Parts: sequence; C-alpha cells; structure tokens
Amino acid sequence: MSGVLEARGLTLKRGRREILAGLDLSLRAGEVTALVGPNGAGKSTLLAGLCGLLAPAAGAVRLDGQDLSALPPMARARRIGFLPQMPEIAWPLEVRILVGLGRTPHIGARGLSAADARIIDAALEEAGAADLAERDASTLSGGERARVMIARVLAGEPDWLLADEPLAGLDPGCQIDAAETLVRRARAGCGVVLTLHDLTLAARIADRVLVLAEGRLLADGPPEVALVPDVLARAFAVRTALRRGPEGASVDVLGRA
Amino acid sequence: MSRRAAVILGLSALVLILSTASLLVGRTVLPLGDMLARPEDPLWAILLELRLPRTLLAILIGAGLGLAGAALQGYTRNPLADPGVLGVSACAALGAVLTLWLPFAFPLLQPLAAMAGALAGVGLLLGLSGSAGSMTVFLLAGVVLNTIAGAGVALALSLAPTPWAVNGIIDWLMGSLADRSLEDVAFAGPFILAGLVLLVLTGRALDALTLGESGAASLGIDLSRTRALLAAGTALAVGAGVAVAGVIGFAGLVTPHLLRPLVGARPKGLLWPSALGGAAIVLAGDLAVRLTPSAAEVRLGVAMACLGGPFFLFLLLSLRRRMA
Repeated sequence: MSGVLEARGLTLKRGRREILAGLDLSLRAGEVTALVGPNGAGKSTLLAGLCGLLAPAAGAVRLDGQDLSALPPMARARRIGFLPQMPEIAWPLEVRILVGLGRTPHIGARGLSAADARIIDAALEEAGAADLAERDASTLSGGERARVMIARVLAGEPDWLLADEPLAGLDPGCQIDAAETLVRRARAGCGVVLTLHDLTLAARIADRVLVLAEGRLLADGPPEVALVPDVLARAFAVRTALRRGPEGASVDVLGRA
Repeated sequence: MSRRAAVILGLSALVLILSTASLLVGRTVLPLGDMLARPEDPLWAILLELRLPRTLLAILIGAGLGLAGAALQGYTRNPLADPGVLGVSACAALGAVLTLWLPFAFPLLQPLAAMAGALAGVGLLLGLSGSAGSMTVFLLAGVVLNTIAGAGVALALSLAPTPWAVNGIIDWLMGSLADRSLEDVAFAGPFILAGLVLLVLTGRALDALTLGESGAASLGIDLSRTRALLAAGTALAVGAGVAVAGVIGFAGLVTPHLLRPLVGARPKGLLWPSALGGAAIVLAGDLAVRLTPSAAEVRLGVAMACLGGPFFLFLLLSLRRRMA
C-alpha cells in the first residue's frame, strides 16, 4: 500500500471560477479522512482534484511524491479509485458485470480473467452485495445501489479510495453497513477519503476530519479537534455541541449561529 | 458457448443465407446449379456484375450503420442515437451535394466530400452537445444538424444547375444499392472497414461510460481519444456508405435495439453483433425492395424509412412508458 497523497499550493477552477486556492494538505494511507463543509464549499472539486480528474490551475497533487498529472490515466486509475456523487448506471447491466467495470484499469484490451472474476466476487462479498450479483442493476433500491457501487470501486483494488457523498440518501442501517465496509478497507491499509454531510457520522468513522468552507481549510485534525463548535460555526453558521459518549463522539446541531 | 457467441454465430449464418439469396434472387432467379455446370453462361454476368456489388455493399453499409448506431448509443447512453436520427447521414449527403457547385471535379471528389460532411456532422454533434451527456441536448443537437443539412440539400435542389444534378441529388437523398459496381465496393470497402475497426476500439470506453463521464474518466478512460475514435469511425463507416449508396436510415437505430434482449445491454458486447445485425437488415431490406412488385424499384432508403419510422415511434412510446 502506498503512503501519502498530498496537495501543494493546489488551486482548482471550474470554468473560470476559482473554487480552491493554494491548498496544502497531506493525507495518509490507512486512515479514514472525512471532508465536511457547507454546500458549495468545494468538497467535490477537491476530491476531483485529488483523484486527478480535474487538472490543477496551479500547484500539484502528488502521490508518494510523484506528480499525479504525470501519471498515465490507467496507471492513476489503478492507484486511486473514485466513486462519484449519485453515480450513473446508464444501461440495465447485471450487477456482476457492473462491478466488473471496476477492473477496467487492470485488464487492458483483454477480457476478464479467472483471477479478475475472483476479485469481483470478493468485492461483492466485502460490500455485502454478493446476493445482488445476478440482479439487473437498474432494479436496485438506493441502499442496494450504494453497496454495488462500493463493490465496483473495491473491485479496482485501489491504494486510495475517494468517494463523494457515498452515504447520502441511505437509511441509518445502510449507512452503517457502507461506512463499516469503507473503514475495514482503511484498516487494511487503503487511504479512504469521503465527503460527508452527517457530522456525527464523520465524528464516528473518521480518523481525521477536514473542514472546508469557501474554498479554504478551516480545520484539519481528529474529530474532537476539527468538529468543535467554533469551527463549525464559522463553516456552517450553526451552533453545535460536540458530545463524547461510550459509543463515540456525536455532533448535535442546536440552531443557527 | 456463451449466449453472445451463439448470437454471433446465428447472425453470421443469417448474413450468409441472406447474401446467397441476395446473389440469386431478384426479378430473375438465377439457377446456380445450372450455372455452375456452364461457366460461360451469360447469367454469370448478372451475378458478378449486378448482384455481387449490391450484396457486398449491403453487407458493408449495413455493418457500418449497425456498428455506428451501437457505438453512438453507447457513447451517448442514449437509446435513440443513430447516424440518421442525429443528422450525420444528412451531413454526408450535403457534403456530396455541395460538390456540384465546385469549379473542379475529380473521380473521388463526391465520395470524399460525403465523408468530410459526415466527419463535420459528428464533430458538430459532439461539439454542440458538449460534455453534458444529456439525452435532450444530444437529440436537440441532432435535430439542429438534420435541419441545417436538410435546408442545405433543399437549397441545392432548388438551385440545381442542371436537371441531371437534380436527379443526382434525389439519388443521394433516397439511397439505393441498384446499379452499383465493383469499383464502388473497392472504393467504399476499405473506408468502411477502417471505420469499423476504429469504432470497435471504443468498446472498453463505451462499457466504462455506463458509469457516466466522471465514472469512466476515474477508470482511466481517455475521453478525448474515445471522442476522436468515435468521430473518425462514424465518419468513415457512415460517410463512405452514403458516398456510394446515399442516405439509408434507421438500420443503426433498429439493430442494437433488436439485439439487446439477446446479448445484453453491455455496449462493448453489442458492437460486433450490431455490425452483423445491420448487415442482415440492409441485405433483407434490399431483397425486399427488389422483390416488391412495382413498375420501378422502390428505393432502399425510402423502404428503410417506412419500416424505421414506425419503429422509432414504438421506441418513443416504450421510453415514455418507462419514464412514466
């Protein structure tokens, strides 16, 4: 497993609009990093930049010291798996075929081998989607779809797994299942970076939280350091309370600041 | 044997049977057994000079249309995409028609202009629809292209310099395989085959595009390369077909739809079957127009439009039901 994914002086633009300016951060493999912030803070843009889908307007993203933009797309895709927000499934494919698309960076022009098939089965199992393997992907419920899409990104066996709102729209049970799958991957050495809106979930599952607002990093540290009322008031303009209990930390939102 | 392999085998057999029928059946049915016994039989001239080019062109043009349709549908994630619906064929026809006004001419000018028109059509289509990948924007871009190319051809028709030019333009619009020669096959064949190869190279990218553009890019797919292959492949496969036979519509729309229930919806898995299916459909259409009892032969392009129009309507209705 690789060690460090870092941004140095990273400036990202959407069209002519500057979303993030001169950002410095360093992410470590084996950790779950949660990226939180209000709508429009630049979380999705930062994820797109960190996985090489959006070229920096200035600065650089480096993977183990190597400039990401210098890596060929397939080599980059073998190292970094990305799960977009509300992933599209355009055709009614069988779930196993859909999850098999995660092997694209590994298989070149050849088809899937027996070894690839075993990796796909393992990914389905790990994401709790083995029972869905024969289903038509267009008939899945929201929770099933989330499990299948996580299996798809796990099938690529990436060193880094970046996911944009992977838990949004899921019921609490499905959120816990999906979060546990991602945390397990991190404990196995993968670097996991998630954007989240649920602050309590961020406090419970993340080793490290980055709070982003208006394109700037307001806090970077363990949940008990980053999710404090002062930081959250500046980021979201809300009053909050960070509570610590036997089940872990939680963030109560008390009202507008 | 996988289901897809069985379908490919079945379609190959169908193309073989239809090709044999296309060679032997027409206003005159050729007695192959007798002809084999008499190598000097004058009927061989009908078979080799009239029927063989027609059969070969039907296979090549049908394969080009079927494969281009499957690739365009895969790229756009849009089941209504087709070189005809999206205006690529009309742009090819406009390219060919515009050569009537050029102050110079050389033997391959018109076919080359048809391919240039098709390339400009695909380029405009991809440019107009941008990277939005939206079904609405893409279809609207196709409507715009069809309108512009249709207006251009209509203008050419009304300003035609000679009555022969009018006939030539009508030929481009209606599409036909009648009276084509082996020279036409020799001209169009290599371009169509090159187009087929380029389109097949998009297979892996089309599969990945099932996950949308950002999903495909995150899997390492170079979308610029995919767009370039798609544009060049469609221009060659469709443009060269229009260059020698005029506009033959709907084979590209119908074929992938008929085959999806048999081979599944995976875009890459649909490419070769669509090429074979397109060849079978154009062969069958051409046989049907030859056997239609009418004073003059019904044009293939017209017959395909008569069959394809209702099919398009059926698709729209079934899409509406699914979206309801």
